[in-house]
Amino acid sequence: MSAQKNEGEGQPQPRVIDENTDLSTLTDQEIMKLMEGMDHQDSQMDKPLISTPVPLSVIRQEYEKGSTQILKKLDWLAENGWDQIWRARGDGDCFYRSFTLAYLLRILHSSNSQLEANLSFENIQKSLPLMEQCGFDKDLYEEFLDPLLSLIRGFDNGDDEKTSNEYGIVQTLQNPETSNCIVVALRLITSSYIRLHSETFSPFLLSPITFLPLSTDEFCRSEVEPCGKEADHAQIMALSESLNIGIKIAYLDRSDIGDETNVINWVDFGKDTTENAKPLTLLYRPGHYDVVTKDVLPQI
Amino acid sequence: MSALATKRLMKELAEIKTKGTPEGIQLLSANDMQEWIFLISVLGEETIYRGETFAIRMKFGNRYPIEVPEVTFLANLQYQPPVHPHVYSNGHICASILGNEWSPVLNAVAICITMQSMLASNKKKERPEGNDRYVRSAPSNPKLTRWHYDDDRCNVNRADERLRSI
Repeated sequence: MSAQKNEGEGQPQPRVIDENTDLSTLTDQEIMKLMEGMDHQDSQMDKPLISTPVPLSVIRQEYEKGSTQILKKLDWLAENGWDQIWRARGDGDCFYRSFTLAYLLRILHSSNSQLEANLSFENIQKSLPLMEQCGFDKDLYEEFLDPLLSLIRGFDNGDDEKTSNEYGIVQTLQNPETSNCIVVALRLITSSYIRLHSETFSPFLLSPITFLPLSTDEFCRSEVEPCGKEADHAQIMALSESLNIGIKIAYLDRSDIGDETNVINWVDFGKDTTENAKPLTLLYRPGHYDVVTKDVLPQI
Repeated sequence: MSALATKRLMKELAEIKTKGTPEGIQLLSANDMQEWIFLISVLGEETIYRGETFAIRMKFGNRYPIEVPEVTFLANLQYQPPVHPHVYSNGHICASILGNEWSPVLNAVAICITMQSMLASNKKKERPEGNDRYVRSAPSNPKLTRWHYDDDRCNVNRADERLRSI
C-alpha cells in the first residue's frame, strides 16, 4: 500500500472518499463517517456476491477525476489486454469470493479442463488432513467443502450446466449458500495452513487494527476463520501455498509507477506465477479485491 | 430455514442427544430449529456463582452457521441473567464470539462452553459500565448493537449510541 503522508492534510471541506483516497490522509471525522457507512453497508448488500464481467473502462470512469497514477495504471492494464473486471461484493469476503471465481475460470479456460479439474480436486483433497490435524471437525469441513468439490467434479463429467461456461459459474457463485460455504471452506484451508506453518507466518501475524503481533491461534480465530474478515498477505500466501496455485495481484494504488514495462505493481503469491502456470489474477484497490482477466475467446 | 442451517442444527441436536452436553450445561428446550434454550451453571466451589443457574436463549437465523445466532441470557420471573461485567441486566452479552469473531465452525454447545468459562473466570459481581442507560435504549436483538470489544471492559460503540439518540 502506498504511504504518501502529508498529502491532502488539513483539508477543511468534505471530499469524496473512494478507493482512490490515500488512507493515510484520512481525518478522524472522515474515519468516523466511513465506519458509520460500514455499519449499514446497505449499498454493498444489494450488490451480487460476484458479478458478470464489466469492461475495465467502467472502472476507469470511476477514477476520471482521481489521481493520474491510478489512471496510468488502468491504461497500462487496458493496453496489455486486461480488459475485464469481475466485481466481488465488498463484504469482507471479497478476496475469497474472487479467488473462487478465478479458480473455477482457470479450470474452465484450460486447454484440458478435465485434467485441470482433477489436479485441482487433488490439491484440495490434500488440505483435508491438515484441517483434521488442526482439530477441525471432519463432518463440518467436509460439509463446507462439498459445494466446491462438486463444482470441480462437474468439469470432469463435462455435462454440468453449472460449470459449462462463464455464465453458469457466475450464476452458481451468486447463490449465497454455495458461495458462503466455499468462503468458509477456503478460510478453514487458509487457517489450517497458517496454524501448521506457524514458524513461517508468525512474524506477519498482526492485528489489522492495532498492528500488534497476535499468536497464531489468536490470528486464525479472529482474522481468518470468521466470515467478513478481509484477507491480507498472510492469508493470501497461505491459501496459495496450500492449494498450490499461483496468484498475481495488481495493486491499483497510488504507489510510484515503475518503468514503462512495469507500470502497475503486481504482487505474486505461490511457487509458480509465470504465464504458463496460469496464475489467478486479481485487482486490489485499498480494502477490496476483484478478479481481473483478459477476455478469453471461446475455443472452437 | 435454509437447507444448510436445518442440516447443521439437526446434526447438533442429534449429537447432544447421543453424546450429551458438558457438565453444567443442559439443553432445556429445542422445540424447533429456530430457538433453543440451555441451562448453564458454573462448576466447582471457587465460583462466585455457586448454586446459581442461568438460562441462555439462542435464536438461529436463516444464515446460521455462517452468521452467529442471536444469544441472550433470559431475564424473566424464573431466570435472571448473571451479574457479570459483560452481561447487561436485560440479558444482552458483550462477547466477541457473538459478534465479529463468530466462526461457522463454532456451534451452540461451543457458545455455552464459552459463556460458562466467561462466568467461571469472573471474580467480582458487577454490571457493565452504563448498564442502565444501555438497557433503557437497547434494541431487542443484541446483534443490532455494535459492541466495542475489550478484554476488561465492555463498551457500546459510541457512534451507535449517537445513532440511537437521533
